[in-house]
Amino acid sequence: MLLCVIAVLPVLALLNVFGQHPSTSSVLAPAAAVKVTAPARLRSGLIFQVKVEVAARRDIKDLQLVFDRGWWESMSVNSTVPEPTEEGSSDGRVVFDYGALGAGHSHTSWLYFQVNPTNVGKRQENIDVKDGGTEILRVNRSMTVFP
Amino acid sequence: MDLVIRAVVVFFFIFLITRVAGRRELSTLQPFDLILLVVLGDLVQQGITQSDESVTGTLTVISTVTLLSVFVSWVAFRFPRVRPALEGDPIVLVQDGKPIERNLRRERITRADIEEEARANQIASLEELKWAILEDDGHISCIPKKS
Repeated sequence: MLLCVIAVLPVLALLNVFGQHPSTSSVLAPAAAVKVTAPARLRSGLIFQVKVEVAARRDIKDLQLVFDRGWWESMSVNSTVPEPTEEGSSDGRVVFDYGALGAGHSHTSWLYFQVNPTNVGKRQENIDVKDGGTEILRVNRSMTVFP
Repeated sequence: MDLVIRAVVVFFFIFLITRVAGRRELSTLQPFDLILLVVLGDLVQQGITQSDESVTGTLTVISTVTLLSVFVSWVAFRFPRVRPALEGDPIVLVQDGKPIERNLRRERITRADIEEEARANQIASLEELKWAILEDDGHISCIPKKS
């Protein structure tokens, strides 16, 4: 019986309950198709990758990716590739500006994070894709960090 | 998930190492062996948990290793034919006062080692030994001839 109790944690871990296997969220809009690949569950200390792929279905004059503050709260940012041409803040959310993206072309951003040991709990991690100030679509995601 | 898989791989590798290293080496730790053991533990930790600093990860690895340890001893108990491969058989080193050179060479044990163990058991010389047996756990059992 006690052995079964001990077995619970490894079994749950194998089922990815505690992370860190990445999941992909896809959203399609008339202007663009977006895929976000990142782990939805993590543990403190882990290094992980977030990949944002934007495929333009029409000309986008000024591609902006707007990240919820949950992406940055108690996270160490190792690097962002490619670097945005401009960075900004909008109501506590982080805005990355990548310039124009022609119809039929795609843009991929890789972001590398590490979870700080004090970061515990569930956070909203939505990403808005905008053309200038106009919203094209929103990818809804959340992330849970286990202590 | 990765955490459990890494723990399983490292567990069986260490298991293999202990079988290859020889039981005598592991039962008589010299200062150098002791330091090596600590270094090995540190390397193993890095390999299994990597950057993970979470309590969840720690508990998962401990549970996995405990389960594997119980599993190996269960296999040894349930399948007697497999037992020698898992735990080893006792090896006769001295019979009727005569060292069995082939077994000494195989386990890298000198006559001096056996004499030392014999003295620790109040037996003055090899000639007074009926049996000297290297046990599974690496210690040498000395049985004197009946006087």
